[in-house]
Amino acid sequence: MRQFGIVWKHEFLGYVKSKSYVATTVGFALLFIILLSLPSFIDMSGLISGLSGGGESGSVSGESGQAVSDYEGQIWLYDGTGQMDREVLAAVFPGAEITEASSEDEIRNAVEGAGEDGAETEQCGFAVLSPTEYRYYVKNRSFSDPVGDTFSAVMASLYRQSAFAEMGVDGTQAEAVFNTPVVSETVVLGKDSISNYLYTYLLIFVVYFMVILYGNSVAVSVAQEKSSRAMEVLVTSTSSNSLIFGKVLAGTVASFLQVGIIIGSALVSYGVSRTAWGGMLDFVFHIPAEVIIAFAVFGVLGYILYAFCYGVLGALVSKTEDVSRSAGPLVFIFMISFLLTMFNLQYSDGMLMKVLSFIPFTSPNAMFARIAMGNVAVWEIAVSLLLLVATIGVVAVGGARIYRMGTLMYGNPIKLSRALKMSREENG
Amino acid sequence: MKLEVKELRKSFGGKEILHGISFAVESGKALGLLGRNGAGKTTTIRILMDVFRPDSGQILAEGKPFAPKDYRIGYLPEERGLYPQKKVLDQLVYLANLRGMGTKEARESGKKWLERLGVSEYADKKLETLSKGNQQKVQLAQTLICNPDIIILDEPFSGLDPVNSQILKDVVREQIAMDRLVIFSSHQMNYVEEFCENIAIINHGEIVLEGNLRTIKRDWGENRLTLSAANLRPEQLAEKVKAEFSDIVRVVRVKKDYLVLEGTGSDVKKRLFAALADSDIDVEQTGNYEPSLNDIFVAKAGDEA
Repeated sequence: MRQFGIVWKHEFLGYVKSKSYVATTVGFALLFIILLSLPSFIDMSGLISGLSGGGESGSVSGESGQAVSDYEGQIWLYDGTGQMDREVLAAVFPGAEITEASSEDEIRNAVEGAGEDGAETEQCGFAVLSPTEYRYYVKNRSFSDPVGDTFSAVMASLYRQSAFAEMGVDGTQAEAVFNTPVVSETVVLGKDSISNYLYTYLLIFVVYFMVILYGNSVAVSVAQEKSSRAMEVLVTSTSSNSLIFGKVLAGTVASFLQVGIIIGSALVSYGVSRTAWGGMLDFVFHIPAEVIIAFAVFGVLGYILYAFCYGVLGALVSKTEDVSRSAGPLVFIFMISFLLTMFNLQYSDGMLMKVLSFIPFTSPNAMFARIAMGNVAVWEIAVSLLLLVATIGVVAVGGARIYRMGTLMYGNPIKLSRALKMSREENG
Repeated sequence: MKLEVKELRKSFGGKEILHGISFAVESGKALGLLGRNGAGKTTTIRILMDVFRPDSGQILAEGKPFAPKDYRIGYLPEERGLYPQKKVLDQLVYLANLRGMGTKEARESGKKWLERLGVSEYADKKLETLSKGNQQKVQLAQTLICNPDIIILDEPFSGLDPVNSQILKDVVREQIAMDRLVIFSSHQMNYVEEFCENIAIINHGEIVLEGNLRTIKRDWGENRLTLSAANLRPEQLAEKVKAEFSDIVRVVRVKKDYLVLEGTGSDVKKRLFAALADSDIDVEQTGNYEPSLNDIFVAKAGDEA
């Protein structure tokens, strides 16, 4: 235990005294503190929309209750029904030039030939086939194309008005009834998955980076001791258990200390300036205590599990260059765990997430996501934790044995299966 | 203190590497643990330091089972290595801490040894910035920093220049004189002859020779003579001896300048000299054979060289 403490202290100080560790921690913490405190000192309402409650909203309603399009190209119109209201169209597309076409073919030719004469005006066209049917001509459709949607809305509105008129109802009144906005306010008493989504997403990312970066540094640190042959002296000075436990737990504390300082400084400075921000970053920084606790518990345990695996894999190679190859399969497992959780974040109560939240190698991500986003029973959390801790125990004990074998074997990377077999023989 | 290694056996992957290694070491009398590469020296040392457990056999200290934890052991591994990117004194203190020494004491002892070995100006430098010889000295400081009761030196002289070798020799002698238990493993027989009262030669995982070096040498030289001729090359001389004196001596070795002969029967010298006087051999030199440790080692461990 005393030796474990010495190894831990040595490794921990090795991390926190390194220039990159100090620079990253202080740099990010300061960055968050400064950025998040800005609104308390400077009026930033001009820079960030929504800060002072003013500003323009995305769409403005036109006379007829239609959304107004900001399309500024040329719109060709062939009206086969003769029912299109040109005034309404002009009101809905105020920036566009609406040109009549004598046939559908004219539209096709005009749109197809757009830009060929060097003119940069956008071109599109509508051939109205019946009061409820039209064909939209566009040369290159962009990812978001609101022109067609707006035209559809106009046509639907015109159709409704004429249909109401036939029934003897005042179309404009009816349209006004249709477009009466509903004012709503949501009071979430349980979990708000919409607002939890972003910080859950971010926190899972944080654990991902911690495992990938710090886990790898555990493996590299083991491989370095082998490649520099410092291991020869170390194994005769202390037990291999002290070495691997010290390394893994030093990495754990160092990395969570770093993340804790960075996240903590962000949370505190946002908390101080929250009124100035008008609460607009609540979806990122206003994290409930239970989510933070779940993050800490599952994050730490998940990290420890992977760090032990990294330590063992580091012991199987003799050169630091071989670490990434040796750790490849582990990174792959972790990536799958990460991606599965990320893709299923919205379905956190689904069967897949339930299963993932009990498998030790995926549960750190999946159970954390379920706690933050979904409905989890306390027993589920307890069972998942128990399984995770038990697996860590098995991996730690087995890992320490393999580590002991692996550390004294130089040369080509050792296969995990061979190391397992040898460690069984060695331990009788 | 007396340390006895008894009948150590060890297998790796189903193959037995050590087939019953036994030897004894006493404080104040260094033991030379000799053997060719891969003979099992390092494995034996590792078992001694509890890195591996033997399949069978035991190690006794003063007649009781030996627990490495109860002793301070200084180990200079053949594969040298410390942390290249850490400061010299810091890593010395860390390793001394691991072996049970307090930080303050370790710093003082570390400084003392760096001073003694002439590398004190590098205490706060990263190890990798030092020359190879100076890195070796740091490694030696690491071995001795915790005032070890037992010192195990594996090839301590490799890579040292004559001046540094002399410093190391003085340190080793000093430690032996301080009644420390020293195990010295090396291929450089001249150093072994200088320090070690006792030797144990391991070959293919077995002890092929063990005991007091002087006694071994005397026993090896007993009834053996050297002979060289001015008019014949050693090979020619060997042919002649085999042909004419086979009832008196047999040729044990043909060396570069002389033959090693072993007598058969009594009054060997008298009979041989009489026979030589009658022959046409122009005797250049003859006398009692005193084997070097090198000869003994080659004879015992050089089976397939």
